[in-house]
Amino acid sequence: MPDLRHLYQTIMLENAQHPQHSGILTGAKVKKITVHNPTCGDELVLSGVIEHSRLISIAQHSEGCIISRASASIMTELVLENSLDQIQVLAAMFVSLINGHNLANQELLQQAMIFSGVGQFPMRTKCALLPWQALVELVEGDKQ
Amino acid sequence: MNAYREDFPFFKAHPDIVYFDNAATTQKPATVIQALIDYYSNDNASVHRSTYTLAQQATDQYEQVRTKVANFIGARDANQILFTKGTTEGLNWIAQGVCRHFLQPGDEIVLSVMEHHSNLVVWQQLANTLDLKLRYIKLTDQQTLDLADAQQKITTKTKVLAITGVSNVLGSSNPICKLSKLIHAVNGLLIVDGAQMVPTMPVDVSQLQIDCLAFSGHKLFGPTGIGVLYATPALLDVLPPAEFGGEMIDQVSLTTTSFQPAPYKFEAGTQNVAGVIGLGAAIDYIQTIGMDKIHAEEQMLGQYLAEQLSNITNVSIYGPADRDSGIVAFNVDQLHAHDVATFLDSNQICVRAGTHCAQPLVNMLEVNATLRASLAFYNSFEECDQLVTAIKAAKEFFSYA
Ligand SMILES: Cc1ncc(COP(=O)(O)O)c(C=O)c1O
Repeated sequence: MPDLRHLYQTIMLENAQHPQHSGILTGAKVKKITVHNPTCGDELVLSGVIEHSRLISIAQHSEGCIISRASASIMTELVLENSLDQIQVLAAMFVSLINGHNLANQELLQQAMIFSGVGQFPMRTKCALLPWQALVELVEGDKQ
Repeated sequence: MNAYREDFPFFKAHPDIVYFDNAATTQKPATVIQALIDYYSNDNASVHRSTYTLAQQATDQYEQVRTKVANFIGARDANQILFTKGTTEGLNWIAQGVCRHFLQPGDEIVLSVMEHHSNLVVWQQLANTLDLKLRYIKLTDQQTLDLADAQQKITTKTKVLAITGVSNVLGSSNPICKLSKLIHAVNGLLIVDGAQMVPTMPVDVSQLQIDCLAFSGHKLFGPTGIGVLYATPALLDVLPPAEFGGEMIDQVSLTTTSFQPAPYKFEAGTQNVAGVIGLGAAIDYIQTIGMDKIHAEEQMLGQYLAEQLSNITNVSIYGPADRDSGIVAFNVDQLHAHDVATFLDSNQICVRAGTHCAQPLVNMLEVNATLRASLAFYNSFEECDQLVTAIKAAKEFFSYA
């Protein structure tokens, strides 16, 4: 079994404990997506406002394990103010990262790179991917 | 270490693993594995179809297991034993059959809130389609089945009580004998999910007057893909087959078919003969120990583990204080069950984390998920201590942020 310290890095624990962009947005322009992980009962509510094909605000409310909470926290910080096209590129990169592929432009994922170790724990990849799954749903309807 | 471990090749292959996921599936004794090898090496032939000697021998072996299962659970007649894929299939067959053929719109089915999805979803879906009413027996504050509530929910409108014998999360057993009296007093059927009960305690369907009992071979130290559905002759005679095909028929013309009597009308197509023979070997093995002894050992292990875990600060234990099986669900405050389970895995301890196919119950415990250690008679007090040490280490590990 790979080293647990490689999986649970300090930044991850910090983000799980003090999540960024925590909460649920309200207002007429807010789009809200709720996703579940049926095996662990975790729930994530992602809310965002999209204007002119750009994500102008985002919040996440995550009830889950350290990996999914940290992933939601780091993801929201990373994608805020990005265009929907950029977001789709980042989401695809993150999925590749979790699946253990080498990435050409790693630096684009910034802090989300700390999830590179999750691939070695196949039972936990869903946890890291859950927020991104919600994000893809959130932006999908709005992309032409 | 526990002497029974010697009987299980899995523990020779993994001497250091603490296997605490027996409610999900159990390890198999060498005799079960050997029975499968022997069957495929020496005796493999089609059951019930062919006339040559080998086929007859395979058929005899297969039918002997039916008798063995009947004796094991106290059934009066081997023809009351149907082979299935497992508990889930047995409960689906019986729920479909009973709801579609005996119940009228408005009839009530009583379940408990602690049911596994396999004894809940099928009834719920049928109730929605056929306009039947579902009622759920609640838990007491001690997280046991609320018998007073059962008395209220079971009325003359109740046609079926479908309930688990032992909860796969709380580890407690339900008072089947009392429930049997309640439901039979209103002429309803008692259907018992035996997935966790049959492997951990003696069960006598005749004495308890159980109308249907479903259980799985793989949780009973036997192979996967084989299970048992027991039912009374009154049900088996009237219920139509769940599936159609070869072997279950009496006569077939281009427009009509007559069926064999039970159990054969329910066993369509080529059956899991090896699974049946493996299940027979599992029952033989269990009987060398005895279900009373297995129950006593597992109760003792469950009680010990629950007590040791409750001595750790910030650990919550679910289920009643008195343990009736080796199943102990718990959580560490502030830590998510999946993170703890990953930590335990890195310490070679296999436990389950999640909702245990019982989402309504876990929601009622007001958590998203729990950890669950489920012990079998081959586990030991030392292994319980290892888990306790690892839980303390997990608390340490996750607090370094
Ligand atoms: C109480 C209970 N009922 C039913 C089942 C379903 O058993 P199987 O998956 O073997 O059909 C299980 C096992 O997961 C269980 O614990």
